[in-house]
Amino acid sequence: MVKPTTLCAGILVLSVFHPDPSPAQNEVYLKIQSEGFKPVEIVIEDFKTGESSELSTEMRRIVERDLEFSGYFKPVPPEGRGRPAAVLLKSSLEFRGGKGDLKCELSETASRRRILARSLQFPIERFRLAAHRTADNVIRALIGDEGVSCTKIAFVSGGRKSKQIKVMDADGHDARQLTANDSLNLSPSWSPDGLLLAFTSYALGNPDLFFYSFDGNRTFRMSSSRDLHTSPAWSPDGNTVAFTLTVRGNADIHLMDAAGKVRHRLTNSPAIDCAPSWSPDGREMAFTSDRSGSPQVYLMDADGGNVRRLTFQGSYNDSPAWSPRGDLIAYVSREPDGFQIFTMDINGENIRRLTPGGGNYEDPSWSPDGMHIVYASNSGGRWDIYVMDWDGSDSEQLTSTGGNFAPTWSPRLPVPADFVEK
Amino acid sequence: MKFFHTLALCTLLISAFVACNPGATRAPDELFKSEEPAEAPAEESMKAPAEAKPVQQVKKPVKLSLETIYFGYDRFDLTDEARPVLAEHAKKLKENPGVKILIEGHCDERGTIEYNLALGDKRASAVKEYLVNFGVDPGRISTISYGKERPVSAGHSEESWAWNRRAVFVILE
Repeated sequence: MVKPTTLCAGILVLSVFHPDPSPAQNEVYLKIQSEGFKPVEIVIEDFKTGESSELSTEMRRIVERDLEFSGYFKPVPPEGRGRPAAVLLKSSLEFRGGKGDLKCELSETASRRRILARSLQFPIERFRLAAHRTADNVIRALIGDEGVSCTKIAFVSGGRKSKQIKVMDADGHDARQLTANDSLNLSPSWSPDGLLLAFTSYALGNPDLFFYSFDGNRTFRMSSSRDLHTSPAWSPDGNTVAFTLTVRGNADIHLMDAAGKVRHRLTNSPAIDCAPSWSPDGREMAFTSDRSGSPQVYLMDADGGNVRRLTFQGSYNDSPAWSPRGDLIAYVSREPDGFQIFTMDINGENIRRLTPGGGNYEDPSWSPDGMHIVYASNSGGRWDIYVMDWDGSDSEQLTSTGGNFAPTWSPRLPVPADFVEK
Repeated sequence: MKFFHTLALCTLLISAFVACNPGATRAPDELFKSEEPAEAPAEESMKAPAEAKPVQQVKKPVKLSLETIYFGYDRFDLTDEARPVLAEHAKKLKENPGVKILIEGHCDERGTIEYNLALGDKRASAVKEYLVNFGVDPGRISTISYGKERPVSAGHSEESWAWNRRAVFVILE
């Protein structure tokens, strides 16, 4: 379900498209219909290719899934329908010396006007990302928003003996392991440019804070004291990391700079203060504190001032996650039927339960466009990672191996240098 | 052997006492033993051999064993059951001044990973503080939290959870 207050409208408005659009004109903002938004019907033709049809079939499936997942589109079959779909996507795929060459054309069915034509060269083994980029190109051309098809999800995977940090595509595919020690690795958190992943690791015998750098596959230890360092959260400008530091058993939220120097202590109470989550404008953060006697969600300014309690319903509220849209905070609340995921406005009102019970639901994390939430749940019998719409509808399972926790959604990521797009 | 009998008697008494408290049921000994090294007999002084050789005082390392203590749900304060146990631990530690220990703080599976890491740390620190107040040198005690990451009981019942809310004593070499 797409928020009515965002962009899209139905089929009628598509006549706004101009022929042979320049890149600027390609970004067409459609008029808002406040009620009854209908997804744009799209036919995605089979990829024309002389090469492996398995690859092109999978790429087409990825494009279709990404477009449907965005909430803006409804992929429909080409034939056997009374009414034609609004838009048509034709693609062709060739291989040339280890590289794939993908050409796509998006056109309006009724007028046959071409909305978008793109050519993408990519290393063949990165075919999944090429398909994801195609979906984002379609979304950008028709909706005007940047899609999230190329984003990733970092998470924790393992059992009692050891837990490792992994990263997978946002559709659950292609999971790769980043850490390789016999220890506990927890609490991953992306930098805003997607180049670093902060996390906690017991690899050196103490819960230390590390940065993993995707550029060069290197890991750096950032903390130096023999204390507990956990729940890192990068400020939106990327200059500061808020995190929980426990000294002599007392957990407080601190700020660390990019070099790992602890600069500032934000909370100063004998209670447990942890789990910071920044507002998208970087001026405030939500966090968990049990200073009232049980864990509740609080807000404070980025300098630690103006602390105010946000949750008053329920005896255990934790894990706040501020939506990138700025208007909602997701969090976890203990209910009689287990831990469930809720959202509330940033003033604490309009509390809304998203998850259906029948298990525990934890660790909510927003997609960069604020339209989806990834989370961990044991409602399927084991702990696995799922994704749902911002309002709790349409949940989809992303992992199935069990022992998967703490998902965190990446920002939009830089395009790899070996992708050439025209 | 006497020490072992005393320990067994204490366990029995504590079990009887705790049986009245539904939040701290005692499990069978199997669960209990899985975490503790076997109790070693107390050191006995060497007797001089019959031949008038000089007595060699061989220092055998004393194998200390400090039993796990347990916590109430979402609590880090020490229970009435834990305090006398910790007083005994303090006594043993003062009698063995060369020994260093690591206190691990653990939580049950409920609640978030991060909050439980902090809670486990609080539990370990509360225990350390108690021992230090009883005269144990703080330099001998380090603490670490494992939150809910290292449960000793895999179940999802109240009883399992009670077994996982614990502070574990690790004797460091």
